[in-house]
Amino acid sequence: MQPASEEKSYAVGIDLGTTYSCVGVYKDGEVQIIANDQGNRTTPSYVAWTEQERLLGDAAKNQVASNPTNTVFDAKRLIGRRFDDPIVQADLKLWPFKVVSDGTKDDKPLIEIFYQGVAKKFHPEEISSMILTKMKQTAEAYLGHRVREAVITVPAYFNDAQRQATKDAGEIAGLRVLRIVNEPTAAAIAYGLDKSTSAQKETHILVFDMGGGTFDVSVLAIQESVFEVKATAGDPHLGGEDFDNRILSHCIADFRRKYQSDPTRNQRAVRRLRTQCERAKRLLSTQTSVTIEVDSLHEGNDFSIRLSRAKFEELCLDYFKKAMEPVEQCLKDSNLPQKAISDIVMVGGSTRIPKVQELIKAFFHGKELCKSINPDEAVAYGAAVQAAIVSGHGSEEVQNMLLLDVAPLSLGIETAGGMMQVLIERNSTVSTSKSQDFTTFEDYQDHVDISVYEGERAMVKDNNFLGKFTLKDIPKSLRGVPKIQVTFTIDTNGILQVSAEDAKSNKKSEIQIANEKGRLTQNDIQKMLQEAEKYKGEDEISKGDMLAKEELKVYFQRFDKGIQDLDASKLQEQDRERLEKKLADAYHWLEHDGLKAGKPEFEAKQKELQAVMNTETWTFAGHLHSALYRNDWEWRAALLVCREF
Amino acid sequence: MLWPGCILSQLCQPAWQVQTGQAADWKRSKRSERSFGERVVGVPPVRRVGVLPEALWGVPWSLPILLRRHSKIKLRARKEATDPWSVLGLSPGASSSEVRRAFRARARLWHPDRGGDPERFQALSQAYAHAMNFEASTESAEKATSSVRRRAVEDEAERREPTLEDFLQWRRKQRPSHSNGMVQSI
Repeated sequence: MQPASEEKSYAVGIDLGTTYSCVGVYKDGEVQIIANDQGNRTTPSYVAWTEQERLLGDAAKNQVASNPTNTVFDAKRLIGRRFDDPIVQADLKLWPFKVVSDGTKDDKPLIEIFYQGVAKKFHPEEISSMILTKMKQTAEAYLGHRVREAVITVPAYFNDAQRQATKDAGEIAGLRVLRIVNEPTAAAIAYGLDKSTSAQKETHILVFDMGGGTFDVSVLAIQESVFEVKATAGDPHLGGEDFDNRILSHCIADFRRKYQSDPTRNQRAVRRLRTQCERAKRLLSTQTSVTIEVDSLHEGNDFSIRLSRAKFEELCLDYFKKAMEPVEQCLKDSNLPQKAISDIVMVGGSTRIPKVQELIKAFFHGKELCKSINPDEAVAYGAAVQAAIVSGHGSEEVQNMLLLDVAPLSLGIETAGGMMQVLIERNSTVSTSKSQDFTTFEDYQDHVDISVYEGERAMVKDNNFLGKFTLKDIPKSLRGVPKIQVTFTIDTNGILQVSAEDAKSNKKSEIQIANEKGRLTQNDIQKMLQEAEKYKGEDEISKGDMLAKEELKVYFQRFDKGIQDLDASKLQEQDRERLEKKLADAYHWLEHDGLKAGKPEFEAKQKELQAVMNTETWTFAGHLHSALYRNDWEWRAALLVCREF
Repeated sequence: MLWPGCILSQLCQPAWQVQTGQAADWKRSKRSERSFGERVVGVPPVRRVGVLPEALWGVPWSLPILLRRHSKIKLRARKEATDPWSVLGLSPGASSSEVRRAFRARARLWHPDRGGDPERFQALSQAYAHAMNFEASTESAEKATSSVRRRAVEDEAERREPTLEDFLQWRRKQRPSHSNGMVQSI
């Protein structure tokens, strides 16, 4: 069946990672992972501002050492969190860019950068949206069509606010977010397409997803193309970057010991060292020892250290051990013994670390791990398939697949005495809803405050507060008499909605939870959307400016050459002088006023020069023209160069 | 019963017409002739009433019956929608593998991704959670009762003096495991 509209539209799957992002699309019956303009299939999640322009992806990461304070990364570690969150506070010390609080009740973090001499503040959502825009453009360039819809992945252990914020980021990037999918689940689809999953028999797999910044484990049951997540667990702050940090602090300690000087205040030095540490970590997956070398790291001192794989493992062993806890938890939650798991799927760059593989192998009594899928691309691959399923573009095999995901944390409300009353238990299949009756605590109570929390602890003070709303005008009566029905509804994106209704008066009140806490309002999103559009425009304008300027410069050269080439006999001395003066003036203008000028000014100047040339040498127009265009190929080459620029 | 088309309503019908001006004909006619149609009244063209008013005659009589039937259907529907077992199309106490199979088969039809109604799917997943919980609790209860060690512990408890801990334990047992039955205050 063909859709009614002629214009083809594609829904893409985007793996929005902490350190790297990846985009895929389901096209012609298969998933294609799209390479960016640099030819890389994954794009660094970096945004940078230089003097002239904004850079995204590879371009931003490549210049990070020279521009550390204006290069933003790790937005995923900030998104949907409060500024006073201990995790944010710990990370702050490691980031070269500045993060401030927005000063409101919500205490949202803002990233501050300097662009063209002005301090600018961005929400983490905006930074993520810029990366999403980059991914969108990558896909558009490949497909040759506009991309309006996307499935975006998040770590399974992301909470409600973080999911909602990711969805907002998608909206700011001008994408309709079809679905927020959990990363391990997406990876399981990639695995499922690889293997035949339409068998009658039920098989269980475990997905171990350790990426740059987050860590998730999920157990899934697959039967007749239905992927049911049985349990999920993880750590939203554990990944390759933490290992980098360990190596980095090891190196800094070594540097301090050797030279008695502290490079930590030197952002540029730290950044250069960090890049080398990351490289070393990658190399240690294949070789047993590696040398980290940075010339003239700090105060002219060269730095060099030999790092063995054993030392690296020793440095990060507590992290590796910590990663085994969610595996255990996940098996326990899904009520399965270790031997019931038929395949262990490894996803994410950090699963290449031999020690991680060794530990998980030992946990499953020496079972071989499944490495048939690409750990970097599997998530985007699965997201692309899910996008095809949701938008109805997939083949029959794909349309037949069904994904049943779960809520990662228990959700409930505060009852008298600060107890947590769970309504939706963790690992419940989404979407689901649950109602429960509550009553008042005091006589003649006419309103109730309903505070919503997520987490596993018994007291609400240990759990994560999501939002609060009030049900007013309950008919006054003795305590325990009113009947208040509280309903939790969790949608397929894992986003929660809570409503409360008094049975007697039929008064109703409700909230979409993430609207309450830290979430951007629809107005904010609209504003940011406009700003993003403006930015896009600005990028293009600055590109246009530069192009016009270069063209003017090239014209100067031609002009100059034209004058030189003209025969003295054909051009009177005074005319020549006048022309040369004009040219000198124009040079002067370019050197001084040209810094602030835009495209229209450059073009005007060029026109002006052209006009002068035409009038002054009216009689020699023919000669001049031939002189100007004698070296036509040279001119073209020059233009090409400036276009490239 | 005055259902349109039944004998009683046919008899009533002419009587009502007679009152509107044809008493003489009515009196003169024989009982056997008193039936529907023009034959009955004979002479002047009879103003026959349309079908609809005739049918309306039956309404006040049948309304309560219809309503009751309707409410019964609704009740059954509600019961089916809320009772986890009937949502899953199983009889109570089906095994966990049966529950899983039933859930997946229904999820294929009702999941929003397949164009199903989100609310219906929500009811299904709720039912699934309930059924699985039920399974888990009965299984663990069976295991617990069958275990010899548990019995030994209980015997032990009976022999010694009851403590506060025992009381609390007993109290906890009285309460249903998922505290649905008890209304908590906010």
